[in-house]
Amino acid sequence: MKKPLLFIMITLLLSTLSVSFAYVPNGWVLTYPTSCWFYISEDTNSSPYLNDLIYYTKQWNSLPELGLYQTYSPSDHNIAMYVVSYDTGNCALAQHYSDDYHTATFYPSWKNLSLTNRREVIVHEIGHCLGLAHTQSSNNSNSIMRQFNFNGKPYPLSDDKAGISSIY
Amino acid sequence: MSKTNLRYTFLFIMFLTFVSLINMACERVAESGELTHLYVEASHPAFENLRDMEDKTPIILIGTKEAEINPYNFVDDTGREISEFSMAHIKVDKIIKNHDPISLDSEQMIPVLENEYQKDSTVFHIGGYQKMELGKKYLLFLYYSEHDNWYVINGVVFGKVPTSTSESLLYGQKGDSPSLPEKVIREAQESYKHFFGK
Ligand SMILES: [Zn+2]
Repeated sequence: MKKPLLFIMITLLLSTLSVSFAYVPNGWVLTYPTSCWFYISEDTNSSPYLNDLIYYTKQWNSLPELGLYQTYSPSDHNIAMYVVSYDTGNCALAQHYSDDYHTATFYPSWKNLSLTNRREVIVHEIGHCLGLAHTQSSNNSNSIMRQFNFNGKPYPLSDDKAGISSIY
Repeated sequence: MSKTNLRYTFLFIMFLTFVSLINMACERVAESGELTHLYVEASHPAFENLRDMEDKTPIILIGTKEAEINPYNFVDDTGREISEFSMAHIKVDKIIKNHDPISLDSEQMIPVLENEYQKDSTVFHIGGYQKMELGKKYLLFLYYSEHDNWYVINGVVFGKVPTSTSESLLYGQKGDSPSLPEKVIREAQESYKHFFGK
């Protein structure tokens, strides 16, 4: 009786401390992940980046659990994307309004990044909208969801794929 | 059931109660004072160490927060209403470096954008940023946004350094402890402490 109880106690204690060594879900879960509609607010700020925003958002379509499609409906979509001209010091932000509505905003510091890093940030912000938080730093080299700096690989990596398949 | 088994079962139930009480206590912290605090995921520039931040920052100064507008509302150039940060009014105490063409004087008041804002009873911390406290002095690593006529804290959470080492640095940081911004901020506090006196 003694040993199994001790084992259960230790397991419970560890789960309370949320020990994990991989991707981190952020708790945002799309109801229909295979029909996720994204909308790009088209204006003078976003026009030079439209092709990249579309192409690198769709990088997540390489995962069987996901389907992202562009829509031109300003009122009916799951992800709204904005490129803005005012400077807050951020490169980009993903914000949560409900499980099925998020925004991704790209700031002047994003425009100043190198082409590959700019593309990596697009994939990264969409990763937040799909339910991933920043990964633990030990996984930085195999995750687009690393918190700081870049891998030079603007597409979902193994840790991201594992994260998405655990959520959906 | 033997006496020993009964005793262990009792101990086990006590333990479960203890664990759930700890969990409840932790969840309440975020809602203290009837405000709900939220961490907002952000991508922003990061610095490897203090030297890296110094090299990439045009303006370094010490200033006191005298006032704030929270949230700061404005209409952007596409006509959207923006309400996603606050604006601090900082009195410049000492200019350590100014490589910006716009001159700065001590005693001057400057607007500094802060990545924390409050809407109703929710406080949003962008990238975990915690706003400066009124009346307190900070070492600030800034650049000037000509487009907006305000100053921006370089690296969002990196460039705001409390002159008091007891002030908490970030809200809701997960992962590495201390995190990279915390390491750089602590390094700055140590390196610039001779400026912090009267
Ligand atoms: Zn992020």
